Parts: sequence; C-alpha cells; structure tokens
Amino acid sequence: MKTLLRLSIAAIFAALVGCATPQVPVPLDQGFYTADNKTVGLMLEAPKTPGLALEGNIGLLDYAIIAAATSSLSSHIESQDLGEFLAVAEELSQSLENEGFQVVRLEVPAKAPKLAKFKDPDGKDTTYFAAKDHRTLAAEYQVDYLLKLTATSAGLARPYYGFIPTDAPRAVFNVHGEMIDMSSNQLLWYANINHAGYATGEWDEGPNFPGLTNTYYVVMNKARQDVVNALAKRDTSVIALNGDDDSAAAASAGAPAAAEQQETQQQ
Amino acid sequence: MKIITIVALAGALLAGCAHSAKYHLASGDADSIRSLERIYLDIAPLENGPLSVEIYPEPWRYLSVSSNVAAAQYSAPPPPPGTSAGQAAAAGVAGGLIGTLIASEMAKGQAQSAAQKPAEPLVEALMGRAIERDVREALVDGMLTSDFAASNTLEYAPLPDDGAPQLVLQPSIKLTNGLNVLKFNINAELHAGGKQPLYRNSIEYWSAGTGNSDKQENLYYWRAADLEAFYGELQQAIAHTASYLAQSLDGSLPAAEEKQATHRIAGNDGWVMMRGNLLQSTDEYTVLRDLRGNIKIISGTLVL
Repeated sequence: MKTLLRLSIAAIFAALVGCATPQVPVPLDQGFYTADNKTVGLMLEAPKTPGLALEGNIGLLDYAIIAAATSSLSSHIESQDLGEFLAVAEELSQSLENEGFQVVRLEVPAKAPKLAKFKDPDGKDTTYFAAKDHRTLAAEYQVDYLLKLTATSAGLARPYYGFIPTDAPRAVFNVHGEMIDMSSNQLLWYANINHAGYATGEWDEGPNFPGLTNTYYVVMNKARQDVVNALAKRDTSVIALNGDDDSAAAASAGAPAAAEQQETQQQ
Repeated sequence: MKIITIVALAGALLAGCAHSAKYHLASGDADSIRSLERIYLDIAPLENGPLSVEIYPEPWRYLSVSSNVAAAQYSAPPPPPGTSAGQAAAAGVAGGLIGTLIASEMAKGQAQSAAQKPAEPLVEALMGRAIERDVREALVDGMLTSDFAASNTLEYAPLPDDGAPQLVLQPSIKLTNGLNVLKFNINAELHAGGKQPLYRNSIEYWSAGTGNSDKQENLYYWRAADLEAFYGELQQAIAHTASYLAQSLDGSLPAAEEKQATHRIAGNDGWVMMRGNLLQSTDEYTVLRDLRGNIKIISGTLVL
C-alpha cells in the first residue's frame, strides 16, 4: 500500500513537471530606453563552429553509419564560420551606446553560476521574471541590465529513420535571447528566434555544397537581423498614433521579400 | 525479398527528396571558347512548362506529418502467427520508414500542388499568348545582337554535324510562392565535341516584388491589361540574362569583389539575402556571382 502511494506521488510529480508552462515571448519594454546612464552587460554565447544535427529515431550503430555517409557534409559545414552572427554584439553595442547606455562585454562563465529559483510575485499579470534569481550577479557583473544571446542551433539539420534520411538537409539557426533587469530580475525581453531553410536547387553538390551553404548564411543573417530589430528603439509617436504596439515590429518583419520567404520561415 | 523491395522503394522515394529547381555549377574555359569560329545556338523548350510556382518548404509540417505516421504504427495490428521476433521487428522498422517517407512525400506533393494552383489562370493566359515562341525569339535576338555573337559568329541554326560547337540554352520562368516575384533563369551549356562542356552556367533574373502580399492581387497584377506587367518584366529579364550570359561566355564580366559576403538587396518594399561575390551594383540592379558561380541579377539596391 505504501509502495503504491509512493508510486502515485512519483507519477503525479512527473506529470506536474511536464505541465510546466514555458516562458512566453516578451517584446522589449520600451521603458528600457528611458533609463539614464545605465550599464548593459552583453553576454553572447555561440558554438565554435556550425555543425550537422541529426534528428529522429537513431541508434548508436545508425550514428556510426550516418557519420561515415555524411563526413563530407559535416566537415564542410564545420569549416564555415559564425562571424556574421557574432558581429551582432558590435552592432548592438553601437546602437545602445548611441542611446546613452554603457555596454560591457561579459564572458560566458565556464561553469554556469548556481542561482536560486525566483518566484514570480504575481503569475497572472504580464510582467515576467527570469526563472532564476539573477540579482545576486549584479554586484559581480557591475551591470544594471543583463542581455544574454545564445545561438542554440547553428548549421544544418537532417531527419533520419534509423540510418536512412527521410528528408533533405536544411540550414538552421536558432537564437535564444533575454534581457534581465538586474535590480528586479524582471524580463524586459525574451525571445526564441528560429530560422530554417532548404537549399535552393539541388543540395547534394559536394564538396562545397553551395546551395546549403548559401542558405546557412542567409538564415544566420536573418536571425541576426531579428535580434537587432527586436532590440531596436521604436518610434513611440508612431505607436501612439496607430494604437498598436506591434506596428513597428510588423513593418520590419512583414516586408521581407517574397523571394526569400521561399527559403526560410520563422517559427 | 520483401525487405529488399521495401529498401528499393525507400531509395526511390528518397530520390524525390531533392527540390525541382536545377542550377548548373559554373565552369568555363574562356580561351577555348574564344578559339571557336562558329557556334550554333539552340533554345530548349521552357523547363516545367510556361510557368512554375516555387513551393514553400515547411520543414516542421513535414516532420509533424511524419511523426503522426510514426505514432500510427504503434496502433498497427499484430503480426500474423508464426512471424519470428526478428521478422516482426524488421517489418516494423521498414513499415515505419516507408510510412514516414510516404507521408513526407505526400506533404511535399500537396505543397507543390497548392503552390501551382493559384497561378493556373496565368498559365492558361500565357499558353494562349504562345509564351514558348515569345521567349525563344527574344532570347535569340538578345544573344545574336551581343558582342559575343559578333566575335564568335553565333548562329541560330540546326547543328550541321555532331561535334560542331553548340550553345544550348534552357530557359525557365518561375513565380515565387506569393506570386509577387518573377524569376527568369537560363541554364546554359556550350559543347564542342568533348565529353565535358566548355562552358556551363545558370544566369537568373529576379524582379522586384509587386508590393502585394495577397496572391489574388498579384495574379491580377500580372494578368492586367493583357499581361502587360508580366511581359514587361519578362522582356527586362531576357535582355539582362542574355547580356550577362554573353559577357560571361566572352570573359568580359565586371571583376567580382574578392570577398565573399552575405548581401542584402532591397527593392519595392521587400528584401532578399544572398551570399556571393558582388559583380555590379546600381540604383536599380544588383548583380552577384553566387556560391555556385551562377550570375544573379536582382532588381533592387544593395543595402550596406
């Protein structure tokens, strides 16, 4: 009976873990730009090189077979760089400094700091807070705001069933970004920016895979552009006239041209 | 035997993974081309009919369809009596794979058909206007009046004998999925008897966007006034592609920038990105050599 009770509690706990609500995207609070003489700590994390991600039901032996079959594609994509994405740090620093902020580049710690959990004082309102308490880092980093950008996926992805590919490879570039007010732990901005696209024309053109390589750089630059757009200062007078906070975002996101929409889409 | 058949079927389906647009990897031997005295020009019929519409690749959609099929296999009936555990496992894996591939191909087929359908009235109108002949005449005219034709004696005539130098041009007209950008491509190959062509390249023109996001509005735009906008853009496209093709054959293209970069080109409320080496940039057009070595003439200005 006791065992049954324990099992039931474990099952309920497991179910509750699965029910955790993911953080909804938070557009940049434009009030951020009214702050004077504040310091922004910019932390940019990205893999050293892009890579090929394998998706689907794949066993260990399948991995070995796939690795042998895709060695040319893997080594080609690993030889590409992320420089055009990493340049976003320079671009953001410039624009924030133009708005009167001081920008400090922060190194990504080798080991993630242990932070206490942070409980949202009112989970029902639209003011969101970081899940971990970053306030304890304010003194260490000496910043008022922490802007974290992480390239969570960079390179190519291909789905497999066992060792058999079920679709052509596609270029992917996903970025997670958040801006935290270090005095209150409030999320001023939170976004997952995901871009993916197939090669235009044939993809299997080794050893240089030009179609896929082009798409990789395009999706990377689109992700970079989205980060810059999301953190841009909006013309508040336009927002007031239109009565629509998203108008500026729509203007920048809706214009993309047609032709490129064939190749990429945003989730 | 059954497993072999299944694997063969899987292979056949996988062959369909590639997308339909074809571009040549650029190659060329300018000195050998210059030494040719007479080149016969041939224009192949339009690839994919009068007009094709690009599909909108939706990887997540394919994956969700595939995972539905993968989930469905778990509710499949049990194997017949007498089936060994190994046979059942192999059949399960192969069945799941085939299901996944079929679902993926079906999703792509549906996307292709959904892309093409809205443009059908335009395709019918083009067939009524003998688009095939119009493109051929404009292309022949563009090539025969080029400097390359003058220096190499380009002639639009049937090939007199096997092995005579022949320049084969394969044109195609596409609209993007939103029907707002017209693309005109020429796949060019110059053969002179040898196994390998002396020259291979693809030259493509992209119009500026129409400025509309609605497919029906775009369809109306291209069809209005007896296809005036469509033919106007097509004439521009043929003139530009023929001119750059002739320059490429002649080895007289502007020098490309050495550094490869991802360029952003803006035109008519839209923008595109492409990686390559910049060949030329004006207020109206940006010309790039892409990573295949193909020449892209994109209507719009380069955004720095």
